[in-house]
Amino acid sequence: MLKSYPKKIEISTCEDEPIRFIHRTQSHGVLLVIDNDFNILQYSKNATDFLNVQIDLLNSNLSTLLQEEVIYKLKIQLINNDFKTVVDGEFSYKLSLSNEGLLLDIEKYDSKLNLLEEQQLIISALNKMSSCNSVQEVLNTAVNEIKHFLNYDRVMVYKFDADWNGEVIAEAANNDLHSWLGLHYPAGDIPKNARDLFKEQGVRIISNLKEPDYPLFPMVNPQSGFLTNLSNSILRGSSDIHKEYLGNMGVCATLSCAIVIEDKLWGLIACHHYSPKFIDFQKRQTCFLLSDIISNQITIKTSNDFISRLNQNSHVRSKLVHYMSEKWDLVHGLTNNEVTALDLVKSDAFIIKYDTQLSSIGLSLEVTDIKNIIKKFEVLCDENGFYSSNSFSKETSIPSLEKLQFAGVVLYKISKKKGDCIVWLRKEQIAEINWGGNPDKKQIQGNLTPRKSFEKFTEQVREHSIPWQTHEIAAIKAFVEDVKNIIVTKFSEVSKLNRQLLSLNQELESFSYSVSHDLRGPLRGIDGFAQILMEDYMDQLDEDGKQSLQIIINSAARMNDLMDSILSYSGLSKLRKIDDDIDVEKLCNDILKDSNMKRRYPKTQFNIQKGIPSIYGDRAMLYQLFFNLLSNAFKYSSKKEAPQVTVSQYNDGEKDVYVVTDNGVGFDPKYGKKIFGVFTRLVKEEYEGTGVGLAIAQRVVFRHGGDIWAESELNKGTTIKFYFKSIR
Amino acid sequence: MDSIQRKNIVYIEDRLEDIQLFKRIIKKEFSDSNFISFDDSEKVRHLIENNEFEKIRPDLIFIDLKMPKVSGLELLGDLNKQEFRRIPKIMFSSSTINSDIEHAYNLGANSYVEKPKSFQSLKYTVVNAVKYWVEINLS
Repeated sequence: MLKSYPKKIEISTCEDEPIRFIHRTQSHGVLLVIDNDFNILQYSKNATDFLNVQIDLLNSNLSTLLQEEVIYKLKIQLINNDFKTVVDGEFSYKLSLSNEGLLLDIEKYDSKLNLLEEQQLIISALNKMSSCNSVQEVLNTAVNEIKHFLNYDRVMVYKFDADWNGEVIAEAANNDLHSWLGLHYPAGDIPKNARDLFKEQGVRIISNLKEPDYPLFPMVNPQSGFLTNLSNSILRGSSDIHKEYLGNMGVCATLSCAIVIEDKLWGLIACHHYSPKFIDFQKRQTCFLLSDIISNQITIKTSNDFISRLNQNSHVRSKLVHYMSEKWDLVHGLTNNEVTALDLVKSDAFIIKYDTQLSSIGLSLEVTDIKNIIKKFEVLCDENGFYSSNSFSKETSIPSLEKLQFAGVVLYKISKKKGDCIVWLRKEQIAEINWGGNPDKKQIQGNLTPRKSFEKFTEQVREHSIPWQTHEIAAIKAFVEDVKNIIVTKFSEVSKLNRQLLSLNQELESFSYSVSHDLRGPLRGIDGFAQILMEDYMDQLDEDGKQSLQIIINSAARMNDLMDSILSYSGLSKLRKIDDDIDVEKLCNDILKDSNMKRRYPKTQFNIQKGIPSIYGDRAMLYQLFFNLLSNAFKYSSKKEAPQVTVSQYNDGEKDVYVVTDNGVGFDPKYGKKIFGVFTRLVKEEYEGTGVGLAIAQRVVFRHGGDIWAESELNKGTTIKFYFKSIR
Repeated sequence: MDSIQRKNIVYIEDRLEDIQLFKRIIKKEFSDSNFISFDDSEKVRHLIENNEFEKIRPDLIFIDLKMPKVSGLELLGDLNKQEFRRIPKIMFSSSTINSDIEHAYNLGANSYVEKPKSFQSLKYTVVNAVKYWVEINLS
């Protein structure tokens, strides 16, 4: 960045330049340094010519130069410590304080403007600006008004950003000039010391850059022995750096006026002229008034703007809220619709992470990278769970984002859970900035030029995004409140549902329990009396009668089985779970033995994987689980020619999956989920069963924090797979 | 057998089918015993209070657990008097809830039997229970 400067000039030295102690004055006036009795201590060397006097100024009192009336007015000002410009004939006089005595600026006064005209001018400008709808319109109006009034070749409004970089945001220039609109300058172009002076001084002119400044004589203040501080002098000469800068642009005369908003330097009105130009105090005064009007108008328009932007945002906000609440899904609501969170504020990428869901827009990064990004930003959050920056690389290093030229971020946490947040990202400003004017190098020569400045500016704003505006942060904040509200509502909704489900479950359990018990009695009666009939009156019944009785008895038995199933299903959750390592091979063999499988299904070949790993769970429940799976497998394969039932296990990389396979009738895979429902039977009566077996199996698996699923094809056998949550 | 030696088997149960089935089993399998049944537990409670119940001279009492008005457990409490102490009392219920069983034993039940679901198993259970408590067990 320093390469563009042959002399060792850089921002820091520029800021250190003692511009307040520049002891030269501009040629369009005379500066006298005087003591409290108005004896002349120092004078600018053009004084005798300018004032057209032949006396030795150093040994004179002001009274030899000025009218008694002027002297009187100035003395009153000194007593009241209230300094105003005094006009007398063709000169204007302005007294000010310095560390070493008093300064008296004497300038030509050639204003042809009378008070009425001035008033009209100001009122007309005020009316025009008031009717503007935006800050931009106000500024456009302002530059045109000022150009018309002061007739500079170029009038610009120059706005500072938070880092004191500047941009030309309004301009009125002669037609033959290249526009400088949109030009950016680094903060160093108008260093802090200069900015401070701008704020104090209001309006300042340089009347002729081509004419050298005049030094003070004598150079050192004879009373104090020090250089006199000339910062209050309106005639004070400019820094060489500044003059070179302007000179390189071909500028000959300038006027600058601070725009101060809320006691802060907001920007400047900068006027350039390509030939010498002097503006007298009265016109400068008018210009100062205008700048005041501009400041007010900016304040008004900004707050109007703020409100209208907020309204605009609220439209997007309400849409997003609608999307989010529609399906209770924050993540999809913010990223999967026509309007996304990206539309809320001007941004290039957006991330939302909530619970286990994560989604992003405008980021071509892996999930792990995005999670890492969130982690890095999260630690920078304040106590409100908020972090924003337009140059996060100053505080943290996130190569994945920097590689994609992201520089700005706003992060808001949306829950207390780590990582739950929403993030907006902005790219580097460079991508956004255009070189406004035509940087013709032949036209603008030298090393200190706007072109160079622009290069410097690009350097300076590298890794900076456009700053987050107050209204943007406000919109985001309001939006985050919306999101939080939705989360809270959603959470209470879910926990309410959970509670309802829980009590429903309990209700169902006690209901099914009492129902099945209440049904036992009548059923026992049906069975019992049918049996009695059978025992006592068998010989009196014909075949139909006997068969009917048998059907009654069978139906009662089946009803009893069904009720047993309901009871064991609903009673399962009441069982206390005692986990242990269970030898699967032994368990399966026990089950086969206990339930006589080998005798009932002699054709079936049973295989179990050698050395199958043991499973950690409740023995009784595991017994039930394997019993249900095995009895299904044996049952549904029994009508095949060579039935096979196999128990095996594999590890899928995370968990041990156990598999029970048969080569039986199978089922249509579209019922894969359904078969775990209570009383779901996909087969006809040819296979006995109550339709609760797999539901119980699933319940056992769920109680062990695992999952169970079925894979099958009609007539090609069934494979049931399950795993338990590993807690070891 | 002498009528004095005939054993009195009492069944307190609100369900009439159950009483009928029970009665048939007792009559068939233990024809030398008397079967006395009550389908109103409140009435039984009055009998106990008026010292009428002991006059039946029960040798074995089956009590259903869940009955309207006065429950089996409440009756058990009533029967926890000196004169009934040695008479075996069998709770007879389809409830297998742990707390019911524990409660019954605490109130002096001698046995707790789940009501069988089918007639065949009812027969088996009743026969075995009566055999044990009347023929084997000394009270």
